[in-house]
Amino acid sequence: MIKKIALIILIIFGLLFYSCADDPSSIGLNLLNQDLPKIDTINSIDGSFTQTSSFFKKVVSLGASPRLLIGKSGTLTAHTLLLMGFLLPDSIKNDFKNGNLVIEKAFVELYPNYFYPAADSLEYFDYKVHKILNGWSSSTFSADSFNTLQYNLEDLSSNKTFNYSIYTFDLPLQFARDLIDNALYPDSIKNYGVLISPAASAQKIVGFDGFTPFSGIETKLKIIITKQGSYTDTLTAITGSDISVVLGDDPVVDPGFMILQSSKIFNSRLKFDFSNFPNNVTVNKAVLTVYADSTKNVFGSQFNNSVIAYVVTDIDSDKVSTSLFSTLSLTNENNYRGEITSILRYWLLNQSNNMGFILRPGTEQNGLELFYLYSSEAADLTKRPYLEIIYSYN
Amino acid sequence: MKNKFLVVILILLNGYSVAQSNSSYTRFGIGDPEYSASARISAIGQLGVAVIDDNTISSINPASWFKFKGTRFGIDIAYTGLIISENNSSSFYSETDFKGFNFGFPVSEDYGIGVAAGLIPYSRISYKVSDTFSGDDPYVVDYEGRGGLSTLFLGSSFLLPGDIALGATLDYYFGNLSYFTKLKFSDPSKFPAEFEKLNKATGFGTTIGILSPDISPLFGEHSVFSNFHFGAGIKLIPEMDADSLYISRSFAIEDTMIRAATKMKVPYRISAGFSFNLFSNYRLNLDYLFQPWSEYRFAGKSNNFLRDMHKISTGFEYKPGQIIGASIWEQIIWRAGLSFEKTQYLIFNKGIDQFSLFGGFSFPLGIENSIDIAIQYSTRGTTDTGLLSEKFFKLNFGISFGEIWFLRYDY
Repeated sequence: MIKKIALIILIIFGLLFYSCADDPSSIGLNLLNQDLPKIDTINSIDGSFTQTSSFFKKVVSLGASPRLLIGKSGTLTAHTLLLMGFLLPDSIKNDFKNGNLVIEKAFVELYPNYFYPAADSLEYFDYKVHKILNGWSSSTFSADSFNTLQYNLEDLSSNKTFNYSIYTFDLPLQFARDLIDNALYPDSIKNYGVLISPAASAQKIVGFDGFTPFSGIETKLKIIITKQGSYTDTLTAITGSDISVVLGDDPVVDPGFMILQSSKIFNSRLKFDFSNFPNNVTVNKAVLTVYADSTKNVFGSQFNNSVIAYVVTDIDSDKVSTSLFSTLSLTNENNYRGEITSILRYWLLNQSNNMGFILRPGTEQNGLELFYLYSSEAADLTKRPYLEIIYSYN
Repeated sequence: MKNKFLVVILILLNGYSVAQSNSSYTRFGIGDPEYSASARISAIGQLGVAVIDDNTISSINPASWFKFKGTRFGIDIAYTGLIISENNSSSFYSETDFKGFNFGFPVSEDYGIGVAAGLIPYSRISYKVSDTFSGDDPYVVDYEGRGGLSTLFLGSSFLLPGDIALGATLDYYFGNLSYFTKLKFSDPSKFPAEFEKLNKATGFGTTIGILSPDISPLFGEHSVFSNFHFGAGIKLIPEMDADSLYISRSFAIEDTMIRAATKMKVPYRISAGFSFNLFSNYRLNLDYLFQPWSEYRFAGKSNNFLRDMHKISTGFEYKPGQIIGASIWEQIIWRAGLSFEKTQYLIFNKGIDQFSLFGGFSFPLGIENSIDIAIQYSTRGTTDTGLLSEKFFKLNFGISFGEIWFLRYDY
């Protein structure tokens, strides 16, 4: 009997304990005024956040770029270095060694995918191909290395074609035979590749697909071989290295601007001083806007029209974080805007972390896009980099 | 059987952890005060300052421990259902509360030495309010209060010459008083924010109680009165140490923006009352409790939303005599009570008063053990001037075990 009663009591209590309750409502809100949160907005102008900006040139190797650039535009000259070789099966090697194979033709296919400036895509374009005489590496070769490059002045190209989707040129048969011999006797016959430089008369820069595994449309070197009375075949060389270098004068920039340029490469530094930022608040959203002068920008035909703001982690070496960055996208107002909430919160946790941003083009090594952004010294205050912060506290 | 109870207790405690009540009044001071953890005492008006019950470990008057007959262990849980109303709307909320446990045993019946210890709540904060802001940039603000002060006590009683019982405890007070404001925007690109004002308080205090000898003989040899006692108690809490923190949390970042060591002064709590038996089976008690919350200070500052608290309560208990062969139902102890309380809350210059009705019973589980149930219905506050009217129903559920331990037998 006692057990039954105890069980009934426990069941009743169990039901009560787990009984439903209404969701929290606003009832009782009047009594909680002291906890009411405040939400405010502050911007870099009203908040008197001192800002500084500057731009700098950065010489890096463009070996990681999937695009090869050749041509001339203004003072800019783009050259491409290509190292291609053959991996031959033993049967072919033996036939070559025994003199059974004849090279009928050697040619290179280039797949254009980019013109700079975009407005000059119909301008004249021509190039020359030179045999390189010394070694180079796509991981280290840069514009500064170009003067050390040794190459034969003879133009190896002939029968150039310039179709919409493919450019081709022929190479001398002896040059092709040298490449085959390099595959047969790599220790004695050296292959340093070719340099493709714009002709003096070129009026634009053209971009081509560089080596990308399995893409099928990267720049190719092919030779057609024939075995008398047996077969005709085409051998495709394998790209060992490819790289572009862009040479030319640095632009003269008014202090009211900072510039970004791909491939060349120009980056800008931008820093806000948050010592005037209110204490004991939580940042809910922060948006950075940088304004561009579209009349000065020079863009190619195909590129990512954005600016990336990287957090600087070492101010002496301009080292940036690869995980803390914000992409500033183009808006209808022709400026670049992006959220930097996480970044600002990171800086405000410890203001010594704030070494500012480094701004880079959305694709830093693909083309030659030149961004003219208004700097922190722009005469028009409304064009200076602008930060808007929504924050809360209670 | 005890193992089964333990399992049930654990299940019920689980319910406690997921529930939340919703009285915004508890935002002020240190929240709602707790007077009695025991369902037996709750059912007679929550005070029972002069009640002597050898099956109850009273936390309000340790002098009453002088009557311990055996070792006692008690644990209590309470369910609260709350209907809270404003001018045009009302909502129902519920919560389950662990009310504490205590343990006591006699050391010397001759000298009235009883020793007890326990962990009981002193105050409780519990509210959750949500507010939605519409407009161009809508957001929701959730306000939540949690925590309260708890007391860990250890004390003893002693019988003085003249059968005056005296008792005292050493109390250790501790607890977190947390007030959250949580901000969440509809725009997912805006980070949410959570602000917590957290006061961590610790400190020692004491409870001193006194019980008069039985004065019923003064009413004559054939009087209907018996066990007539006066009692009084006081809880003293010197200034407590308090860490005051202001914490901001938002998406993986927790920032303690302000941390200050300060003092919190919780005013003393004094109570007095009397209790007597009528026709041996009926017991009545009348009690009064006072706590000057106007003297409450935090960081040296008073709180304008608090006033002095007064509570008067009365209770009645029917305890059937021990009759050989009586059924279970005939052994049930019945209780009832009522109280009026001028609570410590003074909101918008309007004092918040509370009226309560109590009932309850103890269901025997053998000779020394019982299940104790107390039922409370209270009304508090008003919907005038933007205040809240609360109607709450509370079920206290206690289990009391008795064993004969520690007693020395003379052969």
